[in-house]
Amino acid sequence: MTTTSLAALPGDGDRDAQLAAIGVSVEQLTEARGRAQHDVDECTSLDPPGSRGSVRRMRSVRYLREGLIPHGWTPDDTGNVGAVVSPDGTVAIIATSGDAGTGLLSHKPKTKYPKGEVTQLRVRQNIQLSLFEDLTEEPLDASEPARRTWFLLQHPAGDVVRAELSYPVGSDGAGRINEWSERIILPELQLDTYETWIDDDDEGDHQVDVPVTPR
Amino acid sequence: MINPTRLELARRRRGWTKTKLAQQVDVSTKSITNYESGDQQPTDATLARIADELGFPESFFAEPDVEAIIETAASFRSLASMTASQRHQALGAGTLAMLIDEWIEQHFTRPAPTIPIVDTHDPEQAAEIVRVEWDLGHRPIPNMVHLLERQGVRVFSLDEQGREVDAFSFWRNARPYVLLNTTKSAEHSRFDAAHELGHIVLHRTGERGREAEHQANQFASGFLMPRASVLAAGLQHATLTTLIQRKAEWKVSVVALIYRLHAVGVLTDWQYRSLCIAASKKGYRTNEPKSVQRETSQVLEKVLDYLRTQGIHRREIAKSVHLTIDDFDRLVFGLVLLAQEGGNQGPSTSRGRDHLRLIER
Repeated sequence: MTTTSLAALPGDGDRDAQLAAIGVSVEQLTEARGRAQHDVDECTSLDPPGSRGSVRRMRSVRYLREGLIPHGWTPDDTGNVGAVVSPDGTVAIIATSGDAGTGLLSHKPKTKYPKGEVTQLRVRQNIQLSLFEDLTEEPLDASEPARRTWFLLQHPAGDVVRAELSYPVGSDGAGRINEWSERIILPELQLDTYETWIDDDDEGDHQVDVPVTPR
Repeated sequence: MINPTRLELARRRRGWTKTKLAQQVDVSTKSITNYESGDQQPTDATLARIADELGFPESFFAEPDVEAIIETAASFRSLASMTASQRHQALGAGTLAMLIDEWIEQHFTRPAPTIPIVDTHDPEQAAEIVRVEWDLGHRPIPNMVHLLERQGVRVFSLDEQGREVDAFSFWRNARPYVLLNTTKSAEHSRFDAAHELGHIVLHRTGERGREAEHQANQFASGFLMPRASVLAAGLQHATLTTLIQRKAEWKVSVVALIYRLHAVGVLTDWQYRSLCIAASKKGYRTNEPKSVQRETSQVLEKVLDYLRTQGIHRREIAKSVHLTIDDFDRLVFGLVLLAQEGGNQGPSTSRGRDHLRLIER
């Protein structure tokens, strides 16, 4: 099925309103991403390959939960998919790694890795809710209200981490989620990495500014 | 009127005994003692003579009481090898720095101190906590002086003939102060700055002595060269030549890097000993190879730059704090790239000036 007709891609202007409709703010998302990135920067070359991406994903989930739980959200690890669910149970967010198209409106991103059955079910539920406002497919838990699942996609590119909060409605043959009915592009996060300093001869990158102002 | 506390401070700053001052100004030692206790006032002529001999403006002695930095309040690395006179001179420099700092405080706002309270006596752990608190990860510190200033530490230079003094630190009015001997190599000064940070963090309540010095060294080593970054550097079988190339990543001396590599277990005892011997043979313990650029103070530079735009130069600032331009320069000179202000670049008596002049803009 084609899904691009389900919703127009948004511009930057209505980002805050779209996020408010989901029940989160750009600040909450940025804080969680920033804290996760801080942990990513703790990785050294002695961490195994792929650590940085894993740490970014795992810690984004944790810090997002830490930020949202005070607002009534709850963690949900059903099917080993680390989600955080809104107070009324109708919205869930999961964090995952995106490909190079992440955060670029001109591109169509897909998840970096194929997703498992539980995530695929969430995506099918998303499609049904988009089309019919009701579920024909059984939810995982009968007591669970109709839930829309959003993906926090992140992708490091050069010296920034691009990100978007997007509503998945389809996957490719390999199981990578690649169709989106709504995409909310998030601010880029500046990378401040261990990897970069080692070849960095001048001190420009981490230059400290000491504010001194006349009284 | 002469302020007794200021007379004592000025005399000690010069490292003079009461007897020496008495001889220089042609009065009895008893008179000097009386001036310093407040029991007697010198005549105008004697005051002028004292000011002249000690090299302080007369107005310095008329200012309010100063509470001099005392020995137990400051940390000296090599206290045992210092003479009383050297200690007094260094502490006197600290007290004068505080006077300059108070003047700056009146006219400028700067970051407030943010020194973490560390609940450990393990220097390595303390260094890691400070790094976490200051959000430094385990990246190298590009500039120790800027970092200290950003965290509210007041940094001044110690341009001392007594080169036994590397650096010292003290707390005053809930503010930490660090004086750095700026005639040492850049790497040496960076280590000193980190060492003093160790005292500020670990020995807030005044622990002194050999053990405290050892802890401050371990703190400095861990702070400048975090375990994780050193372990990840791939220096297991490094030669001296390799270490000289790689030490710039942490901006430390090659000897400090060798020590650290051994401490974290990257070098075996045998490798450690042979590298130490090789470094000593080449004279690297006293003459740093491939030395990095000296660090300067951002605060002092910004203050001086701003005042210059207002038509206020070093000479006027020195006058405002009742110091000679010489004393003023000695406390800021090593930390500032002085702009040409026409003519006098300070006295020729001070050592270390020639190589400092190379970096003047």
